[in-house]
Amino acid sequence: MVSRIDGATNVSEIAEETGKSLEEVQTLLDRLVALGAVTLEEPAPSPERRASPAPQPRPSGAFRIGPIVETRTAAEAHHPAASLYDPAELDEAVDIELPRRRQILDLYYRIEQLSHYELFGVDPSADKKAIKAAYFEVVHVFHPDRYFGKNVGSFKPKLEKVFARLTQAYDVLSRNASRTEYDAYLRAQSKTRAFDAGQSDSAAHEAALRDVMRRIQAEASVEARSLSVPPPAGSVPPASGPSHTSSIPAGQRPSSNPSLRPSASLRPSDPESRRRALARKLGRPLAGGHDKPATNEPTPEQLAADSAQRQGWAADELKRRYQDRVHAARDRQVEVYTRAAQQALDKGDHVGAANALRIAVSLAPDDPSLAERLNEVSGKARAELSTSYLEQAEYEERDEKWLAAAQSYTRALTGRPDAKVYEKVAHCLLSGEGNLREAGEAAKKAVLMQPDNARFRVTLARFYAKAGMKQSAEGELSRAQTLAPGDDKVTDWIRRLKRELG
Amino acid sequence: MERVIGIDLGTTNSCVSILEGDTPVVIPNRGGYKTTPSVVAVTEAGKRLVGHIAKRQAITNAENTVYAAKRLIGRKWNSPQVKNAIMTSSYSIVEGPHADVRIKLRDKTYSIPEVSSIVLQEMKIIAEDYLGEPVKKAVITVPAYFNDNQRQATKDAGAIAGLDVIRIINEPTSASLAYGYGKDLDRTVAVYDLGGGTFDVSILEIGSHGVFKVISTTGDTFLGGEDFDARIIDWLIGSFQEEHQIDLRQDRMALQRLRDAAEKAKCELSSVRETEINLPFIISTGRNEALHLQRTLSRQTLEKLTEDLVERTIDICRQAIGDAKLDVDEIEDVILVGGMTRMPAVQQSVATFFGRDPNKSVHPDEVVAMGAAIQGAALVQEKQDMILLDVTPHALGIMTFGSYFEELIPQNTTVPTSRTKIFTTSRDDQTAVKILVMQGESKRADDNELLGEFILTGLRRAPKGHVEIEVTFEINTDGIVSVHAKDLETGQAQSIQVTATSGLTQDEVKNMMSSAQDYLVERRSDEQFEGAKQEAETLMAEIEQMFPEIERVVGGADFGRDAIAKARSAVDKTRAAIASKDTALLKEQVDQLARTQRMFKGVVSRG
Repeated sequence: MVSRIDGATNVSEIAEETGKSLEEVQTLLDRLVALGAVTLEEPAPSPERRASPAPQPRPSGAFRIGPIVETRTAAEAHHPAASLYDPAELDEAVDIELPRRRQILDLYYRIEQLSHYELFGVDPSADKKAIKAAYFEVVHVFHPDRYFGKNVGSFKPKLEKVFARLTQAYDVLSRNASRTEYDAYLRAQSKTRAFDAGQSDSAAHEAALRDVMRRIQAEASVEARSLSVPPPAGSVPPASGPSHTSSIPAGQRPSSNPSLRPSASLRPSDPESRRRALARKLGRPLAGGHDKPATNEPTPEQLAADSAQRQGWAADELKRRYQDRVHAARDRQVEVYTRAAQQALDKGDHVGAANALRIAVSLAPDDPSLAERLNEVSGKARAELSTSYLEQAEYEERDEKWLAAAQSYTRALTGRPDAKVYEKVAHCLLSGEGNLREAGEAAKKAVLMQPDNARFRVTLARFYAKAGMKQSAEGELSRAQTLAPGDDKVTDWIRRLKRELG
Repeated sequence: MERVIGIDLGTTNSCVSILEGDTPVVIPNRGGYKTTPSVVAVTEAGKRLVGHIAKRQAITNAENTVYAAKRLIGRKWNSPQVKNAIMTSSYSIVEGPHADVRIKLRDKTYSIPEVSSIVLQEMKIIAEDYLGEPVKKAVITVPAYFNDNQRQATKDAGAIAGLDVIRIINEPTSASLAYGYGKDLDRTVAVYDLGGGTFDVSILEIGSHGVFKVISTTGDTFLGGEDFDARIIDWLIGSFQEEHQIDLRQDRMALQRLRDAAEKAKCELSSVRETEINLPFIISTGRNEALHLQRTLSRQTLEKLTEDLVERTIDICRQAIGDAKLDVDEIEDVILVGGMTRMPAVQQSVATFFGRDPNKSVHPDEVVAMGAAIQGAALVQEKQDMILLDVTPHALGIMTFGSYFEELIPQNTTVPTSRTKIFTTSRDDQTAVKILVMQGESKRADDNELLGEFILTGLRRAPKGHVEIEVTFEINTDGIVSVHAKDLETGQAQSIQVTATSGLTQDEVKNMMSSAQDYLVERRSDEQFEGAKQEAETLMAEIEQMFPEIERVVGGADFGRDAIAKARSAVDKTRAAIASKDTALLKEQVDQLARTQRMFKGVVSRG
């Protein structure tokens, strides 16, 4: 029965397929649900309802990291960080009420993930007054003075950290100039994050992939049913379990164009699946050594004699058949995503194309041409995102988030090699105590591209100094001095480094 | 619930307040004044004087009278401010054992926190007399622009005075609390605080839930009323020298008289257009001829003499608004604090700069202490309706190679705050690293204030740059700094609470605390004796006056003779108690005398 549970088949269908009574199936299912092995979903919403949570318009190819909001349970929504810390932390003997302790931990453990707006629970469009009110209210919980003279134990550093973060966020959002910069940073980040998430083994990518896999399974089992009960002429098996469609992030959904559905019209274009479909119609599995010849119809006597053997064969056969269907469905999904990618490319949307291709590659990891294609398209997408990465990097650099800035600068370089950006990578890595080798490479590249830039030479000298290469450092410094004898910043660094070099 | 007093320890005057219900009350001293001069003196007899008494005898005891000690608190001996103070002070400033500053009064040297503690103790006594119970906890205010050393020294002064200083808060912030507390305001305000010795400007956001958030603060710890006085003194000395070729600065007593006269004239010119400065016998010439000083000072002249000082305050206002990233027209109210803001030229300049008339709802001399009382109550009573978010007035960092200042916590960061940074060694096989903690705005370390230094030892031997040291800097809600350093490899850690640099070691503070306690007991019994003596003398005078009448009325009777003898012996015993300074006996005698006096009065009225 478990093999029939695929997220799309309903209870009566399972009963039909397994030959068990409806009650029996229901009892078994209840037990499986109780054990946590299976979850029940609401019946698929009607198309009208499905359409109602209209996908928000987003930057092309972008999607939120993980559709967390939709799937969160009520309890999680209330204590969103409950899974992020050891509940024993709540039990510490301190003079703080339990709900407050929970509130503190909930924010403390999510502090790095939340945007300034999420921190205050306000909409990004909230006005100054609303932000001020939200901050002034939450300050009463997190300012250490609220607990003056009380035992707050390990909550003290946590309170201070959250308070500092809240204040930093408020300081940014309460000034027009810094808020505008921050909003631009958020926009750039959401673009690049969508891309990064689509391209890495992130939760978002995994979720999207799981979704596709579920669709594939659903398709395979639907096909199985449509074979046992011949569908009315001209009908087409649904592309995917409707209950999933709503949870596929908008940008990820390649099916917004109906022609992209793996429909009957698509199948003939695919010789492999056509062949498989034909084989299925003949009621035979394809290939395989222990296939009985089709002409050799067994008599009822033989069947009775080979009953046990045949049962085993039947199970194998069923399994194989199911897997074949899965393969076919997977191939179709690969096709769907490849097409979606092509379509995105036609619109000049490299980010969307790269994200779609990445799914296709995950589905068909053995196809070298797909992988190559992805590589090429991601390169183009990175180039397209270069400006967003630069914006992001500059913001991170100002914020002294050195390593994040170095990473963003590096990504900005992918599509658009630029000496200044190479120097920035080196500068950020050196300032943030990041990877020294990478810093050196970037610094050298910058100097190679613009040998006459004194500041680039200083940065290279900084790398040499840090790497303990005294002579090289001194060489760069003297070259820098010759190049820009009047530059105060250069002179400052030279003096500083020379002291350091001893 | 334990009561917390708020003390405004000012350069020229101090003030103490306490929250009664929801209203901050300023407590008057025994003279009925709401502020007490921050003046400390030691008499010829070795007696300590504080406040008005000390100020009144300053002219005759100029060398042993300390005023404006606040200008020296937490300063280093070699700082330009101290050099300047040595030039202009009538008391003698000497170097202390920790390159700090001490004051020599008679045959004893006092640290600055000790001198300030005498003023604080006086404020404590004023509060205790008013409340009728001992006071232990206090919130003390300091100029917003005070650095960590100055804050620490002020805290030490509180400890020496026997106070548990639960919080140091900034004066302009404190003033804003008194201005906005319980009023449910929602606005951005500027506090212009021109006191006796320091100038501060703070820009604050006041809003819902009783939150007071400082956005920026800046100032000058050597700009205040004293500098305005100095201009008048210079003007007087200059013209006197022109006329008589005599430099009045050479005479400490003359200088003290000039100082008093200048302050008085300055205050008068806030309400009148012209004032007379008249100092007869200011100095005698070598030929035994006395010279007099007589000048008329107009408001206009004073304004000209001090024009640049007022302009400097406006420049600082401009900077504060810039630091807050605001425009002048976004400031919705301006609060004036400090006695100097009574000067019409100051008010005019402030009004012109901010484009609005300053708020006059708060008392410039009392509002700071009131705010401190509010903050004190809010902390210990867990008041839910007020919270204060202040900032650090100076950037905090460390000195790196080449005398550079590496900033870790920028100026105007909301406190409490902390910052962690990773440093590496700069030499091969370096096993120890010295960390110099500094505060200030200059890129050059030498221009900033050194708060303290410590050495992290036991680093593993490695090529330079390979040992990573994590340094965490913290500024707490008092604005006081602590630093921790940790070798990331070995976990070896070291930390300092930057305390030793207030000029006093912990042991010294402890010693001074106990001697201040001795002094307090001594002083209290002294006071009681003085009180009893006065009462006794009044009673004795009345009784002695009645003797002839009593003799006439009841002298013939045995009981009458007996009563008279008893009365005479009570008077004699009282005289003896006064002579022996026996407070306990004297008190008993006062009761005896009071009974006798009542009886005598009864006899006389019947007779």
